[in-house]
Amino acid sequence: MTIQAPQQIPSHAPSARPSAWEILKDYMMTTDHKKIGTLYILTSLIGFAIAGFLAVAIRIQLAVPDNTFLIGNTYNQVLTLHAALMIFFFLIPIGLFGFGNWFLPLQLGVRDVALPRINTFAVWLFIFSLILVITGLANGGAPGVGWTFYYPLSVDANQTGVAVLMVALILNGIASLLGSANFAATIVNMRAPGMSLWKMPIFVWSIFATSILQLISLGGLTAAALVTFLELKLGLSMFNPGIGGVPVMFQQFFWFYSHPAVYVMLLPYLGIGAEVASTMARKPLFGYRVMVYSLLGIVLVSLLVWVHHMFAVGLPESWQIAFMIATLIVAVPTGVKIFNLIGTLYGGRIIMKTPTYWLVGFIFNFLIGGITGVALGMIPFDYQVTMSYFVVAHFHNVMMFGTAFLAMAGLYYWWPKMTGRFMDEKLGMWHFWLFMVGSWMTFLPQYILGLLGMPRRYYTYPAGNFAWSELNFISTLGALTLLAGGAVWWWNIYITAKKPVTASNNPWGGFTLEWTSSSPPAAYNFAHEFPTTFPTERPLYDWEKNGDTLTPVDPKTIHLPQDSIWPFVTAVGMLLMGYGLSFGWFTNYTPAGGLNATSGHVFASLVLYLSIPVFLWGLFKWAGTREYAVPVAHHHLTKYDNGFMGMAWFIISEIGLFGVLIAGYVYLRVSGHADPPALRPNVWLAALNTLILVSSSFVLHRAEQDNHHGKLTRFRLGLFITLLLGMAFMLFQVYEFSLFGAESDWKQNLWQACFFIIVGLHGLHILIGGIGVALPYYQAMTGKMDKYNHGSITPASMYWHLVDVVWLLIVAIFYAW
Amino acid sequence: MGAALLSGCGSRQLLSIGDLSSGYNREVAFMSIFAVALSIIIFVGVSYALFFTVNKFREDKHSDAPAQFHGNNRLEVVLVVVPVIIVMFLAILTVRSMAILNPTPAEATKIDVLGRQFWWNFSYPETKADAGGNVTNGNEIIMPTKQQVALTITSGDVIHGFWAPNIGGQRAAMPATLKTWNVDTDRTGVYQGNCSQLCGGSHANMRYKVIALDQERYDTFLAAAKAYRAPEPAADSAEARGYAIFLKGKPATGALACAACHRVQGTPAAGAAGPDLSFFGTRRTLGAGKWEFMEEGHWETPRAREILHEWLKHSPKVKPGSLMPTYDGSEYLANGKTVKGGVLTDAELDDVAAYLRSLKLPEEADYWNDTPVYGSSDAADKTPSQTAAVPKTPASSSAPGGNQ
Repeated sequence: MTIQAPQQIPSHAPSARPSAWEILKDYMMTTDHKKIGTLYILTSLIGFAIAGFLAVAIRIQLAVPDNTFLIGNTYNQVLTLHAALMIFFFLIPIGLFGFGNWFLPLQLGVRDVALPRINTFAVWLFIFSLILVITGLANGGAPGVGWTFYYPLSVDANQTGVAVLMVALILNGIASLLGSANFAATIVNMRAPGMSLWKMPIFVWSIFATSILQLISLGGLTAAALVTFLELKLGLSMFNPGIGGVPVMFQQFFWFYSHPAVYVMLLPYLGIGAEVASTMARKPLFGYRVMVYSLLGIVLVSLLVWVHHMFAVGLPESWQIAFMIATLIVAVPTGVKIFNLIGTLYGGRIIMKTPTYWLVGFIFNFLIGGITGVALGMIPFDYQVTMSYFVVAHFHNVMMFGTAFLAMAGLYYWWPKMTGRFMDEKLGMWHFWLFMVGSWMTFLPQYILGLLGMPRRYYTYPAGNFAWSELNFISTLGALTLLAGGAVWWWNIYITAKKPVTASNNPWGGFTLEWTSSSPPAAYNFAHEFPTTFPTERPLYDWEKNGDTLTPVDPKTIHLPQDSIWPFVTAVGMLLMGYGLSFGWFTNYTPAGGLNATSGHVFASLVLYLSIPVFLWGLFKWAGTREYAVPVAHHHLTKYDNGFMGMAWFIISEIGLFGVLIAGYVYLRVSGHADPPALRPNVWLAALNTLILVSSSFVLHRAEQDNHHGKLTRFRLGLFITLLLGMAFMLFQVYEFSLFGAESDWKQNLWQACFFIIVGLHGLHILIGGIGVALPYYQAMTGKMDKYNHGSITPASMYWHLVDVVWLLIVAIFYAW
Repeated sequence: MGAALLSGCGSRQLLSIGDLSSGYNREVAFMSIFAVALSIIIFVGVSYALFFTVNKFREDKHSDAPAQFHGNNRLEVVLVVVPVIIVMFLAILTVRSMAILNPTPAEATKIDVLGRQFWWNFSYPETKADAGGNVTNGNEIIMPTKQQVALTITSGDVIHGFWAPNIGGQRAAMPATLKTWNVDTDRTGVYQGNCSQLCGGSHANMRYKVIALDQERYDTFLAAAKAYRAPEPAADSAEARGYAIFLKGKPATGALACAACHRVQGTPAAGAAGPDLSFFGTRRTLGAGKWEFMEEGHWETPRAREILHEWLKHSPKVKPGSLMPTYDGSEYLANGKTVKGGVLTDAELDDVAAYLRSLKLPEEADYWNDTPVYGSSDAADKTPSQTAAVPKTPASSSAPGGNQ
């Protein structure tokens, strides 16, 4: 391979071993996408380990009939945590954010993501959401409602720990959206010069597709969690059948995200699989464009299949059939991915190392999972086995010994790049075969159990049901085999960490840009410029053929974003806020009953009050710290800067969130479930507020232009007026809310509950938008803006306009209608 | 452990979606033949392609320089079009089966199903009891064979799922929503049903028995149930004392009346928060199928007596999350709040149990009589079954079933 950068001596090779505190501090402040990726991967692996032990506990309980190891709600708590951790703290983050952060910039040939400090904030918010779930254990226990937290079980009086899970999911969701928007902005704005979208590596495409999917659909989960949280805390409900709400609507909200989430847990791994296949077979991808189209096809169709989780609920047949067809169709692009992986291997000279084994294992297992998935789409069969162990086997088939195998492939494949060390091949094979055999033993019997009538989420079963005892026992043995495989794996990681750094830049002979950096990469990623011609998605192959070479760059001339503690402090503020919201005083607050405070609540309330100054302190300090220590001219491929681009993608998620809630409300209104009470908020006040908000948008727009033309005083004045108008709006709204809340009981009127939830959420957005506008005001007042630093005015004003537009919609459907 | 398990007792109940006595399952089986055949072809084809490729082109066997081709559009088109044709074919099959299975025939027998945490009520809306109210049975559903049975399914609290795989697919029991669902079987027998939607601590203990009877015996049952009035206990008997407690509780010790939550047809007891107890003595299950008393003697066996006693005394201790109050003064959870139960003496509890055991349908209407349990190998040699142990003494029994 002639395309080899000179071996770079890692610049961070320390003369003395840094202390644990120094390392931790480094990771708290870092804006380096690789360190952030490491944090995601590490946290995910910890999540995987905890959830794995919980799974073994579940299997031990089910090893024999009438076992008494974990019973009743205790079992349900273990089950809920197992699923929630596996999904939200392992399978989603490790692929999308772990590998995504590590390799998306490297494969694009850039030095960082579009918004590095947002990235720091997001990773810590993600870690804190895990910590929040764990603090729940000490505050009344884990939720026992399943990770699906179906209504009304989630608000059932005998349940514990649901509120904290809701808050944790919302924080996790915010982190996830910020990360996704960041990736999308990076891809659109920051590719290596000459790399067009159609020349991007397939892994980058898979992260792009996943990010878009995440941005569009996550609103469903946020809406479900938010409304559940509000009902638990304040009695605000959109689902309560007692006041005309529709419990099935919860499932619509929930699955609107949680089905696409299945593809969030698949697409990044398909990207990894394709990279592994192409490199290991030493061949181009089979049908690169078709693979990209099928990624995008999966994104589209996966948004239209969620009802297949609810066939047995008995929705109208026409709905079921429409969603059934989409469900079956989604198998087509997924099948294309599988066929093309085999096609990529075909005719190659396949390096048979651990990553290849994981890939082949994935293809074989996923084939079974895919076939059973199509079977589940056939509705009368689904009526039989939905909610049974057949479904349990199916989704573990596609996730545990499907995509998680590709997560392993990615780890073994990129481990030399990430650490400079090779994982032990022999232990890797033990790990693979123990996982393979363990998975089959665990889950193949569960397919049969489903056909033999065993429902899922049973903590016990009687002796004597035909073959249940035997199959469950085999399944438990399989889980223990998996545990052994996990132990081998951690042992492998442990001994690998002690080995010397021996990996070359390109140990597998890969063709994408990450293989030109050193192993592990230096902080600046590349000490060279790339040729600007990208004939295919395999630049290293093409350049070698054409005799193109890399141009060395003096690392001293490279400027990286400076480290900052403030994103971390801001995330701490969010953690404290989450803790306070989960356990604070307004648990069961009612206008009539007043507060229901206990000593624990008082402490949590204090934490909540404390969180607000911490959050604002972190945020304003962050805004007041420049991204780069020295003035740097930014390069971006579009005419829009990274702040604009990030916010533009993020706004999709806000539209998704309001879209889901408003669709729910409109359905309730049209179907006659939610009729407004006789006394309702005055349309004249809303009209005044509309006037205020629309004027503020014009003022802000004008201010932005003033800034553009260098009229700083007018700019500052404009921002100030915008803030005043926002405050006036909030005052009127608080007045209106307290009036309406006193007039009638929101626990008794569905329309009123919808009003408070949706208009209240908009009010929260005004607050967030107001803080957003206050940031550039603060930057302008403290002289932080200049030719190179535009501060956060662009994203802040975009967000403000969005909030404005949403308000117009709200006026139409809540005040005028 | 494994050996003991595999060589242990025979099957007592066979649950299977492959039970072709049900028209529902026959239809699914017809649909599945094509799906299974296609699945096998695809599975064998793709896995052959995979292993052939890996085996042929692995480094140690294939040292030629890999061909650098970028795909094959004609093949891609085939790989898209063929799966589309396959899934469209499967979609047509699905719609066909739905068109056959989903509509409810007008002449179908109607049974109402109510799921609650953690029990079921099955009532017969077309059969008004002479003593008032619809004929209702708790946790054991009696249905006629060889015809469509239209269930109207709902829930009184959280979402539950009605699923007895031998007689048809499942349907969610949603609060405040009525859903109709058809089941059927051609074979007389006892089948197992389960709750299929996570509903709380005893989700796994929310089972029921389906007893399918031929039309004649079904009519006999229904007629007897219609005419049924709970037998009047003889004065001064244990049953009479139990009846008094059942109706009024024991306010002096805070023991709540059973009648506040349970209905017994032909008595003033008309509570609706717990399962209907009208035919309690005829039933052979307790705690929504958590315990079965299939052996000879049924309620009269020492095991059954002890379990019933423990159940009445403190049901949440033997069935997690049970919402029935305790009667030994221990604490239990009601609406999320911990409250203290009232107290009944052991003798009083036995009186209540005696009263419950006396609530029997006439012999000819006993739907259990000679109804074979589907899949039971024990039924042939009449060995007493040991479904679950006495809650208090798990060590002494051969099959642990306690829940402390």
